[in-house]
Parts: sequence; C-alpha cells; structure tokens
Amino acid sequence: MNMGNLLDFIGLALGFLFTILIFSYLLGDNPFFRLAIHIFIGVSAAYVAIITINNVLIPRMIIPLIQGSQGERLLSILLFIPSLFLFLKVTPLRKAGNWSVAILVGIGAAAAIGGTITGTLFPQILGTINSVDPSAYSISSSRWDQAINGIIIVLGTITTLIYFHFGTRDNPGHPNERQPFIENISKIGKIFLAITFGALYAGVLLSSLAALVERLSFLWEFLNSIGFQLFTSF
Amino acid sequence: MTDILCPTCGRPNSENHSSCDFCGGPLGSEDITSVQNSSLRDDLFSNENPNEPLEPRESMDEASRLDSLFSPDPPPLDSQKEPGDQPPESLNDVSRLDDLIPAPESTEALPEEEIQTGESLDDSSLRDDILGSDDPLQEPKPQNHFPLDNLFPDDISAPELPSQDPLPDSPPEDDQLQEKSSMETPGEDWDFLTEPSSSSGLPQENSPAEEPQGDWDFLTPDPSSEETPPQDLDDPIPDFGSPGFSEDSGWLDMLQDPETREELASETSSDIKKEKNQTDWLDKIKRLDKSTEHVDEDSSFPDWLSVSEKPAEEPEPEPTPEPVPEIQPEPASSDLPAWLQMDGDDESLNEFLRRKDLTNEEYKPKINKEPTGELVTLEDDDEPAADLSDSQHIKFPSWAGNESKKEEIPEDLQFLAGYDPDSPPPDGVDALQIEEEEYFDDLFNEELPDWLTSASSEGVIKPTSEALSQGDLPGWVEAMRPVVESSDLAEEEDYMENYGPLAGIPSVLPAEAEIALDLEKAAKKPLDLITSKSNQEYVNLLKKLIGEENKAKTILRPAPVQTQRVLRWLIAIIMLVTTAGTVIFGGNIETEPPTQAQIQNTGYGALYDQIEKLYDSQPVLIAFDYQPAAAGELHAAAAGVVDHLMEQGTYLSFVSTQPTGPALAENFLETTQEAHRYQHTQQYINLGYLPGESAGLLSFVIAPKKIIPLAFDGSNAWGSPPLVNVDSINDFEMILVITDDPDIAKIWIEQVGTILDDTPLTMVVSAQVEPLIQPYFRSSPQLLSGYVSGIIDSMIYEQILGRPNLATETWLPFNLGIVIAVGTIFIGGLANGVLSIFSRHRSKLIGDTK
Repeated sequence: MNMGNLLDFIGLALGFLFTILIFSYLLGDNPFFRLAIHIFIGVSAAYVAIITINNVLIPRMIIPLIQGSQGERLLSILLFIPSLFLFLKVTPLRKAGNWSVAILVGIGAAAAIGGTITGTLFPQILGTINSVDPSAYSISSSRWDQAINGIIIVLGTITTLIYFHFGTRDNPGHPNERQPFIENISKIGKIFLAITFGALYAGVLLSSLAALVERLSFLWEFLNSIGFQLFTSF
Repeated sequence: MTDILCPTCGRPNSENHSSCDFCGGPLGSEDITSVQNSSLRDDLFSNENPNEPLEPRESMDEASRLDSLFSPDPPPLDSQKEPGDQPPESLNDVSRLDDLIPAPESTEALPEEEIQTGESLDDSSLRDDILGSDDPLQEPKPQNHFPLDNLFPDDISAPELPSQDPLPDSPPEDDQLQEKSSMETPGEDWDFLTEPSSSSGLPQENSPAEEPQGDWDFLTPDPSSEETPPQDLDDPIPDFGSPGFSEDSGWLDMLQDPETREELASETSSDIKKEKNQTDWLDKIKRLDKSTEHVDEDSSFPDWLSVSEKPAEEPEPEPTPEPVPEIQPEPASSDLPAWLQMDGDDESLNEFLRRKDLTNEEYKPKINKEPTGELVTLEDDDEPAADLSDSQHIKFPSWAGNESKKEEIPEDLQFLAGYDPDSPPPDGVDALQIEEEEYFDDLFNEELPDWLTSASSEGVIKPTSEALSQGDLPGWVEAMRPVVESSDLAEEEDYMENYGPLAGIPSVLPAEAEIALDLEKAAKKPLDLITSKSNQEYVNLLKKLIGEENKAKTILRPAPVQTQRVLRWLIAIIMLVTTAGTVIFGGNIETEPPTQAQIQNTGYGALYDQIEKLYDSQPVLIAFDYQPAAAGELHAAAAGVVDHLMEQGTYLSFVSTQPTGPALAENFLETTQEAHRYQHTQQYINLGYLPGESAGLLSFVIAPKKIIPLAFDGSNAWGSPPLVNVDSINDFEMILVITDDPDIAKIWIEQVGTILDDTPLTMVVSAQVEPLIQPYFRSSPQLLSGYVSGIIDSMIYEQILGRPNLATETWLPFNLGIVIAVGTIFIGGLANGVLSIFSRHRSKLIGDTK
C-alpha cells in the first residue's frame, strides 16, 4: 500500500467512522454524535479560515500590497483599513470597523434589493400576467393546459397574498376579525401554501433520501474495499 | 431792649448783667481779640471733649460767613503780601499746591496770606459736615486750601455776593462788620492773617507790626486759656422755646426746607431779627449734645447735624489735651500746628486738585435728598466713627465733623465770612436759599481727593458691602447663577450597554437612565389613556401570559420507552434495511428513455439543449455553491450534466461563493469525472472562493478578471486560451450553478440572470430548491434557461444523454427509499386518522354517557 492509497484508506475510514457516529443519532443524542458534530464544526471552521487567508487575504490584499502597482497598493490599504472591524471589540479602532460593517451591509442590501426588484418581483408579476394571456402561450403545448395553468397561478398568487392580509377594521363591540370575504379567500390561499410547503418538504425528503443512499453506498464501498483487502490478503 | 454781647461767648446778655449768663465771663471791655484767638484755639485743639465747657465765641451769622466763601473776587493778594511776612509752612505747601492747579488765576499770584486758614477751615468744616465723616477723636487737621473759585462755580458765588452781604445796618463798631468790610474790600479781606489789627481795629498788641507772627496768634495755644478751668461747666439747658433757638437763621438753617424757612421768615418780625443776631445756634447744638431727646424734637436742625444721629453707645474719648507745647506761639514754618501741616494726604490732595482742574469728572457722594430738596442726610450718617481708620480720623478735624455739634465752628473763624451777625439777613438769606440746592449739588459734584473719597466711600459703601454677607445673595441672583451642566453627558457618551441585544455596544442611549430621570414625577403623572374594551382584553391577555411565565411548570419525566421513539426506530430500520439491501443486492434498472415530448418544456430538457449548443473549448462557468452535506445528492445530480459538458469539450471554470465550494469542485471531478481526466488549467480552472455573496457576485459579473485574478492554487486564472478573451461574465458561453440553497439560486438569478445577454443561466439544484426556481424557468422571459433538480431529473438527463452515471446507480435504492418514505407517510397518516376517529368516537361515547 503506497502512501496515496494509505491516505485514501485513512480518508475512507474516517468517513466511514463519522458516518456511523452520525447515524448513531437514531438511538438518540449520544456522545458519539456530539463528538462527530464538534469535529465537523471545527474542521469546517478551520477550513474556512484557511480558505479565507489563502484565497482572499493573501492574493487580494497582501500580494498587491507588496508586489502590486501603486494603484493596487492604495487599493490594498483601503481594503486593509475596513478589515479592522475584525478587532471591533478589542481595539480603539472599533469605529472604523463600524464603517466597514456599514459599507458591507449597505452595499449588500442595495445589491440584494436591486436584484430582487429586477430579478424576482417584476419577472414574477409579469409571468403571472402572461400565464393568463393567450397571446403569450407557446405553441408547443396545449393552450387549454396553459390557460388552466395560468388560472391556477393567478388564483394561487392572489389567494396567497390575501392570506397574508391581516388587517381588520375596528368595530366597537365586536371582535376584531377579518372580513368574511377576505377570510374565505385566505382559506384558498392556505391550500396553496400547504401544497407549496408539501412540495418543499417532499424536496427535502428527496434530498435527504439521496444523501442516505449516497452514504449507504459509501459504506458499502468501504466495506467492500476492506473486505477486498482482507480477502486479497489471505 | 439792648443786650450786651458777651466778649467771651458772644451771647447776648442783659445790659444789667456784669457777667455773662451763659459762660460767666465778665461783660465789658475785654480784649476781644485775645478771647477770639483763644476761643479759636480752644475750639480747635482743646474742646474735643464734649464734657468740657463751651468756650466763649463770637456770635456770627453763618450765612454771612458762608457768603464770604463765595466771594467772586479774591483780593489781589500780591498787594497784601509783605516781604516781611513769612507764611507758615503749611501755607507754603498750599502755594506749592496751587502751583499745580491751573486755576484761572495764577496760583503763583496767590500769597500765602490769601489762603485763609479760617476760610479753609470753614470749607473743610462745611464739607466735612456735609459728608458727615467726622469723628470727635480726630485731630484738628486742616485741609489744604485751595481757591474756592475753583471749587465753587462762579455762577453760584458771583451773584450771591451782592445780596448776601446786605449789611447796611450793622453797627460800625462791630468788629465783625469790619471784618466783613475787610473781606469785601480787595486786599483787605485776608488781613486777618496778615494785619488783623489794622483792618479789624483789634488791639495793637496783636498787631503783626509788633509781632510778625501775630496773625497766627489765634492758632497759638494760649496757656492761660488752656489752663483756665471751664467757666461754664454747668451749662444751662437751652430754652428750646426761645425764638433764638427755634428760629435760628444761621446758614445751617438754610439747609432746611425752604417752605419752613419762609414760614419762619414770615412769622418773625424785627424782634426776631434782633434776637436772631443774638442767638448762637452752634452753642445750642453744643448744649443739645447733652440731650438727644431735645434734638429729636427740634426739626430746625438738619439731620446731618442732628446730635441724635450720633451713636449713643459710642464711647466718649478721653479728653486729650492738645499738645500745646507743639504749637508754638510763633508759628514758624517748621513749627506749624499739626492741623496746618501737610501730611501724607498732600499728595492725594494735589492729585485731587490737579484732576479737579484738568478733568471734568465729577464725584457725587451718595446724598439722600428728599423731594423737597432738603438735604436730609448721608448714608453714612448713622455709621459710627469708630469704623473709620486712624488715617481718616486724622483727616478731619474734630470741629469739622458731626461731633462739632458739640463744638461747632470756632467763632474766630466766623468773622472770615464778613457777615455781621447783627445785621438782618433776610435778603442775603433768600439769595442763598435760592441757590442753596445748586450749591450743594455743585459742591458734591466736585471731585474730591482720594483721602476724602476713601473716607466717604468707606463710610458709605463699605458698610453696605458688610451688610451683605458673601453668601447672602438674593434669591433672584441665585436663580441667575449659571449652572454647570452635569458631566453625565460625557459619561453617557462612553456608556456601554450591559445586557440585551445591544450588550457590548458603546454609545447607545441608555433607556434605563431616561426612565429613571424623573421616575417619581412620571409615576405621579396621570396617564391620559382611553382604553377600549378590546384594549382591556389585550391587557388582560398580556397579564395572563406574563403571569403564566412566572408559574413553575411540572415537567413529567419521559417514559423509558416511548411509542414515538419506537416508531422512529422502526421507520429508521425499515429505511436502512431496504435502502442498504437495495445498494448491496440491487443492480441497475433498465428504464426507457423519455420521449421528446416528455423532454419538451422541462428543465432538464432545456438544459440539455443548451449544452448541446456548446462545442469545444468554449468557456463554461460552473458555480459549486453547495454545502458538503448536499454533496451526495448534487454530485449525483450534476454528474451527468458536467459529463455532458466535458463531452462537448468545453473549458470549465469553477467558482464558488461558499468557502467549501472549491474543494467540493475538486472532489467532484475526482469522484464523478475521473474518466474524462480533466487537468487543471488545461481543461478546467478552479477560480476558488468568491467572497461577498451578492455584492461579490455582482462585482464578479462586471469584472471577473479583477475580482479573481488568481486561481485556487495560485496560478494565473485567466491565462488559459479559452479565458483570454473573457472580460465579463457574458463572455462565458454558459453558466451552470450547482446549489442546494434556494437563496443562493435566487442571488445568481437576480444578480447574474438579469445582466446576462445571450449567455444562458442554468442550474443543477437539490430537489428541495426546485419549487422555488421553477417560476424563473416558467416565466417569460426566462431568467433560468434550464435546470436539473435532484436525482430524478439527473437520472432522466443521463437517460437522455445515454451515459449512465451516479444518478442511475442510485436510482433503485433512491426509488425504494421514496416508496418506503411515501408508504410510511401514508401508513402513518392513515394510522393517525384512524386513531383520531377512534378518539372522537370515544369522546362522543363518554359525552353521551355523562
């Protein structure tokens, strides 16, 4: 067994071990499960830190500061100053960290809002409208199917939005309840929401099932490899 | 009735008397001059003890004496000065002092003789009387003399003289009248200092011709007079009802209310005039000094002369006999009496005189003047003389102060006024009365020397300042006092929250402090809230919730073996056994490939079409944005798609917005695409981690080379031939995003899909993401050109592709697992329904039984 195979074997063995430890949760919370969780979290954090240093800080800030042009150096300094927010609570420059946090949050929020409006809100509204527009139907499928699909989309969209309308009118002497019309429509929206969450749950189930199959396949492959080794050793 | 004036005291006595009723002195031909001199001397130096008897003095109307002070035409003293006359040193000082005064008339021309001692004393006494800063203990310190023209404006003195001296009826024998005439005559009015015998007709033994220094004899202490026992120790109580007392028309009476004077003038007749001339008000004052009660009843005296104003408890000083030997009979320049010698106040006086003429500054001491114009008193009248310093005691002669009420101005100086006490004064008095107020106003407007201002200021201001202690400020002053702001503001800036979601963050607004500012006041303030019934219900509900949180709940210990746990174990065993058995003993399942109709309008079909459009070495960007936990699913789902791309010969560029993405990409290639033997930088490039999420992704869309200059392994990321021409994300032929997070999928769609022109955005997503990304694929225009969701679509994709891969390998256990899961859900739901029906039925039966 060469070094490469040994490392692969150690890797597979550790994978097998930690998979069993995670599966032990079927018996309830136990130290083996918690040990595996702690190891996974620690390894993941360490790996993220290493990636951040090697893939972000060094190539994008340190190297340009040392070997880069004047503009790159200036840009690196400007990038270095906002990074002081890492020392937000231990240095007097915590206010500089606030600036960096404000910049990050502000830019992120602005980008997210812009993308949501142009990439989600308007296209969804337009798609909902087109779903009931026969002129926008494609010729590849039945127009009736498209029409029924469009009606369902519009009905689901409207009823779901109405479901989240919780406004009431103050009526002295009577409990604050939604209008009966709104209440009835919201029930339809509740059905659409249940179907949507059911589909999402089904997708989660399928994803989990796929992961289970993949882990079982891995275990079997590892056992096969061990048995093969053991079988071949004899 | 003819009265005989006493040569000693000057008081009228009946012609039948041989001796004075008042002083006991003999009436008749006596040396008046000697008496006058001795009287003056005694007044100045010896009569400071109020217990001593009054010295006989010459009766003189004070109005006339005051008029003499206002003489507008000082005599040409140069003509009066004789070479043989040696003025006293004090007068020399005065002359030197006058040199400093730029008077209208050259002071150098003023001989020492012109500087009348008596006049100056009168001025000083007048001023001191007005200021009321006298002290009986004061040494007779004459003040430096200065021309009264400079002190008193001409507009006051000039017009008064003609009317003030209407003494046509005064007897020529009267020596005072002669003195008055000598005063009126230029060059003769100062003769009492130079040649008293020649001008006043005094006996020759006092003539300066015989005694060059004889003009200062009145200053010379007479041993006989000093040693003479008091002649009138038992001074009779004055008759306050006598006209001569109550209707005293002396100049001090002019300080009274003019109306009073007019009434008195109207009531008095010629008899009164006669008696008036015979009355010496100063003697009355002296007598009244013994009984303040009578003085209080007498309103004819001005307040500042009132004896009652003298503190009763003021200790009377011991009679200090004047140092008679110090005053030599012949007043040489070095042997002048103390009160004539210049003292330390000379400089201040000189300064005062200099400023008097050079400046127009006025000094106005505080004078209480009643609306009627009557000069009532000064503020420091009631101040004890003991408050004054020793220097101030020295500055004011005893006879010039309030204590002079006992002694008053010496009679010897009264003749200097040139007023005949026997002459009727109405005209002159009226004239003076007219200008009376102006006179005193101007008098007080004069700038006084420092020693006088200090004395008056201390007498006026100091008690006022002492009356208010340093800490006894009025309330309104305390209210105006600036209040220093609390330093809590600075503390609040450094305030750091200790608890709550803002714990550890400095410079936050402390809510507790704001509430605790005025908690009691806030508690007392009624709340003007009008609550409705629904609000009350909410309040009650909130109270109930809060109350329930405070209640301890009993937690039942779970049973060792629970039905739910057994059920969970059962489901897990079923899933594991079936799936593992399928993996171990399963195999490939032969399935028919989907038809074209089935592929149409599907995500995997669209993705397949997009990949089919690609050809060799076209750059394709693949984003591995999923967590390692989802690698089992996504590796199987993406294996067929990536294999298809490799089959197309595209140049793959891996990038990830997750830190673990680059490693997963490498693992993906090693585990799923090992057959293609893709080499790094040759067939693919791993760009590594792209930080910043949406912002970073947006920047990468705009300028990918600047955002990620280096590859994951540090090599040149964009040096490969397929990536040389890539300057933006649109230069990629296709973008494939592999993710298990719907949010990441949305970020890619929103940030990249809206910018892309012709580059298709496709995805390989987990099965749980499909419901969220499908609208982007179904919408028009499409933001998502195609996608593969989970193992099911991937297995179909592999079937379409004709290259079985991981999805096909896991399809059987995966399907069996789905069946078991669905069966478990169905069985569980069915069992739950049945149990619910039984439960309801049981409850109904129990209810019916009850």
